[in-house]
Amino acid sequence: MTISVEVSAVLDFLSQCPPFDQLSESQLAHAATRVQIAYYRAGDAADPLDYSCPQLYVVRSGAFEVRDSDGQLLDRVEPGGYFGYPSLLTGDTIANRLVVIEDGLLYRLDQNIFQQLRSNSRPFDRFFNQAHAKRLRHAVRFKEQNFHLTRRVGDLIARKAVTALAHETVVDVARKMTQERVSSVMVIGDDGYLCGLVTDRDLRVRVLAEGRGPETLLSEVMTKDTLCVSLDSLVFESLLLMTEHNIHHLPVIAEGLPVAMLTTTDLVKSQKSDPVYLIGEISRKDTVEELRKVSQDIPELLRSLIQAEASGDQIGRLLTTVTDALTRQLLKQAMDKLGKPPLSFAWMAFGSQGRQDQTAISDQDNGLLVADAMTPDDDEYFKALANYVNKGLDQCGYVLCPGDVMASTDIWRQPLVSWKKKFLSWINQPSPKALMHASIFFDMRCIYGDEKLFRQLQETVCRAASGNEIFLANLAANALKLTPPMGFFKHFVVGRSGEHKNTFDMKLRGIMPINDIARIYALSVGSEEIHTLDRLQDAVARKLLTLKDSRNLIDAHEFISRLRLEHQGELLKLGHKPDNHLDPATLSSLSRHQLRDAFAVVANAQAALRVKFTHGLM
Amino acid sequence: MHAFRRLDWVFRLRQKRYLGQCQHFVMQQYLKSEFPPGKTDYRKVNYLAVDLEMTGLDAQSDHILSIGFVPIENQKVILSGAQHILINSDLGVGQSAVIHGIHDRDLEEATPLETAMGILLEALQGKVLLLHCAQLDMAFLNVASKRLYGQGLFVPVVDTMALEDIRLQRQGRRDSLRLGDCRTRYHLPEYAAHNALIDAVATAELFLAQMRYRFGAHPSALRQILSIV
Repeated sequence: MTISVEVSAVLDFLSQCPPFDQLSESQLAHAATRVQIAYYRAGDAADPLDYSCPQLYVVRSGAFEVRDSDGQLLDRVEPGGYFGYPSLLTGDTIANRLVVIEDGLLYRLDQNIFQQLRSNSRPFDRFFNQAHAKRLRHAVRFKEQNFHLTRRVGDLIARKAVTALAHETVVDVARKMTQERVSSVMVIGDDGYLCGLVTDRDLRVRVLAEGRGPETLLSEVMTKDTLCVSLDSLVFESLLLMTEHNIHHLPVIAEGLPVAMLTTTDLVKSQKSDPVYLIGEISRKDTVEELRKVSQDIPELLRSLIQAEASGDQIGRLLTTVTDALTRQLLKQAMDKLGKPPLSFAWMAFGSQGRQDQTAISDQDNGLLVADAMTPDDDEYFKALANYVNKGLDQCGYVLCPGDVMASTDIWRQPLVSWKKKFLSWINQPSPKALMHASIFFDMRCIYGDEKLFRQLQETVCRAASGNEIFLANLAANALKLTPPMGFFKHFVVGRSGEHKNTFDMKLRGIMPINDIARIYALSVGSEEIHTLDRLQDAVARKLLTLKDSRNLIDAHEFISRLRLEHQGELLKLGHKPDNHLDPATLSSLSRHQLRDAFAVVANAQAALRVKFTHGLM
Repeated sequence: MHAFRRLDWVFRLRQKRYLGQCQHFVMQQYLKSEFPPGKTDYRKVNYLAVDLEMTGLDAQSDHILSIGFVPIENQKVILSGAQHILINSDLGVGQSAVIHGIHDRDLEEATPLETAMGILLEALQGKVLLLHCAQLDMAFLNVASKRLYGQGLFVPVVDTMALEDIRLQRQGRRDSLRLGDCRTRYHLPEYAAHNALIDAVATAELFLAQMRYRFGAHPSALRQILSIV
């Protein structure tokens, strides 16, 4: 028989799927002729994947889930997605099962063609190795990770080792230490290997106190058999060693040769990028100037968190904790200056600080809630308080809110009754225009002050909003104006001109729509949750969302957040101002693929939102 | 035109008679192949999904422009066995260029009908022919076979359109039986382009879906789905 021909419909489909899009024309055409097509019907009993002859499965249409033998979900695969590759890569038999969610076609490629494509195309090989790694990560994504526990000594040490020979005299070494401004030297034998350690303390205790002369040889006074660490040792281990043996110096060696000295100072410095350290520092500062200096370490904190592969959610919460601490310390400083407040009050944060998802760039959104007995004289006090805090935050890098949503603005510094009135007017006489700027107020959190006062306001808002169809419909109508930047043909829609040409705004088009969706679900039932992921989980508990939809949204939120943080970390590293504008062309094909998936999730959730809530407008 | 839903011995008798009358080598080889008996589990049968593009609907005056086919084995569409043959003819494409996107210049590299039929018969050995709207395509194949080999085409046929018609009638529905519309009912993807090969693949996928809906994972005799053509 004559040679086989490729089916153009199959070829066209594969050519849109990374990594097939990276194959040469002839490789792609060859792959397309080797496809076998199978049909699966939704609700079919779970099929064990046939591992007697491992295959790569490409989803052509429909939706599938891969579950392990215990029924645990490993992967959800939609058109353009893959499964079956782990056993092709590892050669292991894995007893996973396939569950058909929606009727669909699977393209199958056998072992031979898969290995052939891998060896002929590096991008193809890399794609599946990364996908495999991601699947593994997915499985452990609920494991806690503490980032400073995973740092290694090699990441910390800054300067080269100062060394001396064993037969040098103490006076020479004392001079050398003074010159190099170190408190210890490593002593090396003639063979170049480390044989001991001499510290300031040794010079005092073993030389001066014992009446030895300046000509004493190092070998007589040094500490022999010192403890050592290697470049790969965990910082955490080193810390334990020092505490346990009550020492302040640890030689770092590589293959027996001294490389550097690790000191307690290095460890303290390393903790600077630890939020716990940072917050501790903040609580000890008495002036705005001192706080400003501490806040300069925040970009470093962000960078180390990104490097440590913390999740977008964890990073958002940690950065917000720091902002909260700064706010509280500024309030304390102001009250030290202005005296005791005449009435009880609550300092409220709105928007990203309220939701605890701050990033490298956050402006301040806050307001002051005062007990109802407030008089004009009292307001003088609170105005001064607010001014101090708002200006202080500005100094610390949280720029003044361009929309003036700050406690220093008169309308956002009000007694409880006025705040209630304000919220009730948004809720009971909603218009899309009025609500456009008001949505951030519904993400409010009490940062400092009278919790009870704050809760009275929150309860009023929750009660008025829950089940209020017209209000929710208006909120939903606004939320639906921001759509993911995906075109009809699954391409990214980017800015065509101006400063942000060829980019799209990850916050505006990716994160905000998810925040909006979560907020509407929470308000619709009067839930007091503020954090977006908490709101989504709460929506599942209250049966507003299916577990699948909420997990999809949480994953999409996490993926886009992570992408945004990495983008900002990259800009910080280069010394640029961080922003939210991403050029999709700079992404790997794999990330683009995942971003498309994430946006599809957002678009689906928006469609569901439209059905559920906007009928109140008709 | 024969009914293959009858008993297997009738089927084999006819096969023998066709072979006896056959004068042509290619046809002889084809008729000597062993076709699956009607009691065979349909899942174990090999099929060849075929689609023809024609200049019109009248088998006597119009002619075949192209043949596309793809085999089904183990309930999978095997693309490595796919073929797309453009047929050379003196008559030109005429009106149907609009429908099929085939232009006269494409036909310059085309194959004579005799060669094309030879390739088809070789691929069809021992298989069941799968068509959407078998009546039309069989009419053209029979005319071609009679012209080339002096006898009609002896073959067991499954018609996805007839299967769909029965299903819809049972449900008391009267929906469209066009290939694309049938596929939509099984949530199969829409193909933007059309040619004989893509439609053959589309028919094969439709068949897999129909079987999955009708029989699930259970066995069933081939006899149950064969068409009377």
